[in-house]
Amino acid sequence: MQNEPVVHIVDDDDAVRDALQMLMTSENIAAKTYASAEDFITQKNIKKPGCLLLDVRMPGMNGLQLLEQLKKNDISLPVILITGHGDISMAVQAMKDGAADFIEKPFNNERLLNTIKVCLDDCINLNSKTEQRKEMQQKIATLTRREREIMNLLVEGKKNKLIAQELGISTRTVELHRAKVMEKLHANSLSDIVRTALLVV
Amino acid sequence: MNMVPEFNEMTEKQLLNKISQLEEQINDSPDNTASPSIKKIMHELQVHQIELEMQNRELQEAQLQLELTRDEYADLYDFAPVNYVTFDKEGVITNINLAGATMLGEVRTQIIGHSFTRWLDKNDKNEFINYIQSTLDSNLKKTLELKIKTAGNNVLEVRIESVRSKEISSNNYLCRSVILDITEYNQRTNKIYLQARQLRLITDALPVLISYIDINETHLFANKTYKDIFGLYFEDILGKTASEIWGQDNYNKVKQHLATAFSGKSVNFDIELPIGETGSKFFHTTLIPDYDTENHVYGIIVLIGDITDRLVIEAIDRKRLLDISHFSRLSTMGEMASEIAHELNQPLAAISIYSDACSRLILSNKGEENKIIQTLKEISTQAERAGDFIRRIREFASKKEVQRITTDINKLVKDALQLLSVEVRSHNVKLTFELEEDIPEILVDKILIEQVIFNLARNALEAMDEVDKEERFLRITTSVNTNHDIEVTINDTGPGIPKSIINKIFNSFYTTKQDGMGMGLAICHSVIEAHSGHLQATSNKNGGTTFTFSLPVPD
Repeated sequence: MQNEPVVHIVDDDDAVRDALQMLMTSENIAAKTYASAEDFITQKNIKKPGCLLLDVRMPGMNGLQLLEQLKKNDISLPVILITGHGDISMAVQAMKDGAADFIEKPFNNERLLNTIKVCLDDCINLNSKTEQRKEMQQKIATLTRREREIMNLLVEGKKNKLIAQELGISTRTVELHRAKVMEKLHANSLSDIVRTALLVV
Repeated sequence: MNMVPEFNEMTEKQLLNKISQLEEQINDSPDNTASPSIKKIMHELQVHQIELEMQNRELQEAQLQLELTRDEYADLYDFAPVNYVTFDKEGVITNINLAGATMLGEVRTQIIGHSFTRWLDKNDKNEFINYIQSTLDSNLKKTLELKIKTAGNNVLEVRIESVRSKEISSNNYLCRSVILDITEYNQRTNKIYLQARQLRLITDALPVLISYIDINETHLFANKTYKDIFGLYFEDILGKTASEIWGQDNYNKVKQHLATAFSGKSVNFDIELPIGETGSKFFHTTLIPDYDTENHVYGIIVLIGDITDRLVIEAIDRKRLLDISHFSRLSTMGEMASEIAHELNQPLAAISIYSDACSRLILSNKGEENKIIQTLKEISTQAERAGDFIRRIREFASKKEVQRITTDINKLVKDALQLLSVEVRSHNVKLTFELEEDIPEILVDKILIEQVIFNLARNALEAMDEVDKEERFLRITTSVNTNHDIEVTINDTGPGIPKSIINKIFNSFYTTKQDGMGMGLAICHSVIEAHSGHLQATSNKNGGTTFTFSLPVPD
């Protein structure tokens, strides 16, 4: 089918790459795999519609560099980044550079599939993002000034201890504020906070 | 001869007178015919005269002979190269030969008649007089050692040997003495004594047990350390055999080494012996054969060093190195937590995705059996991969007792770099191996050597952050060098180490890293040295650094 969307999977780990492809197949999503960013970028005809599932950490050109390169080449494919645990600052950078979303490894497969589906649907429904944004803005408005401050620092990729030092408060207090932020934003993880915050910016 | 008796009583002169009287009587006779009796007497007289003349001549000769002999003895006495002196009972010199006078430094006329005490220290005077007395009272040879002060103010040490002798003219006893100058002899003896004493002091001060046993294994010498360890006195040791001093059990343990030494070969060995009250001790023992002039082994020099303390210190050092290296590995693991998590997440993510895909395929009834079985196998492979990594990490972080086992260096290189695989990727480094196949195995503490390779490689990866991504190459080689040792090189294309600090990098707490402790390279150095190897850093011609370490191949 000419117009069937394709998920391009770029990951240097053979097993992860192979598993992802199989997962797509099981959900009837067409997928193509690449062992490196270089392999992907040298593809002549990147099929549209589709999306790119991209591992951040790779030898040679890494995920962020590929993102940059795509921008340069004017390829507007939605990109979902797979980040390792604790690579928040990298994820933040990716979102700023135009990534559609990011997902932290180890990830929930259901969520990954959902995210992919949303991206593939985006080609059809471009308005959904605006809706989402409005909703998030309302949630963020409920945060106190200190909570907001802490959220921003978290989004910068800073750890609790560092935030505590910077604000001159105890780590325990930071933890409390952080819990409150997550509660108010209906976030399940740090990446949820980041996602919400970046959508609004 | 038939002779007229009274002639025998006559002297030569009387005989001559008698002869001339008789001649006159004959000439005076008128008819010139003397009576026959007169002629006969005349003849006898003449014969007798001749006999007397002959006797006279003999006497003269005898006297000459006596004079010659007397002169010879006088000469012997005067010019003998020995100092002869004769003392009377008051110690006055009644005679002295030339050598004696020369010794005293004065002419004989100024010596003879003077008391010998003139040349003595006043404290020695009484002793000398008593000595003369006792010599004169006895018929034995007596000796006395004294100091004399000669005319030239030289002090000589002398030994006087004397016997008494009766003077013919007065029937009194005199003291005939020889004075021997023993100054030089004493000096030499003194020197030998001092040297012996110094040697004694030195051997006693040495912390090594030293003894000498002869061919019958009898102790002829022992130093203080030696006697102290057995808690004995010298007189208890000297003359006793090796087995008597060492104890039969200890003796049996070293018996074969003694036999080797007695056969003419030096021997070195380490041995644990229960000696003294402190229990077992460790000794480094050296047995050196001693030869007589005919090149036969005459005895053995026994040198025994107590190395118990040294072994304890070495054990503590080893323990400390193990503790520090373990601590360092743990802290490295801490620093690498994120990388380790990532490395573990890979197989876990794969497993999670595979199994999810499998269940989706099964639920949707789309799954071919083959495909699902293949995927399950892949899941198990990934689980093994994760398990393998965890095992490796746990091994690396573990703290084991020292155990050296035969190991393939290439495997250690691979294992160490496996732990670093995430870092190799995240630092964008191209890694190459040049590993010698069929390399001899080495006897090492695996974890420690792996840690060395790990530390050196990790340093290299970090160092290369400073150069362009395209320029980052890590090359690891193994080979056998010209000394037949295993050699490993870790070669990077980083910015290199400045000359000014290349000699300091192995010092503890020396670091150029912001958050480094300066332990990594120091540990590498200690570990390699503890394995009798050598570690060094050299700058590459084209930039970058090469760390090379060697490890001996066991015989």
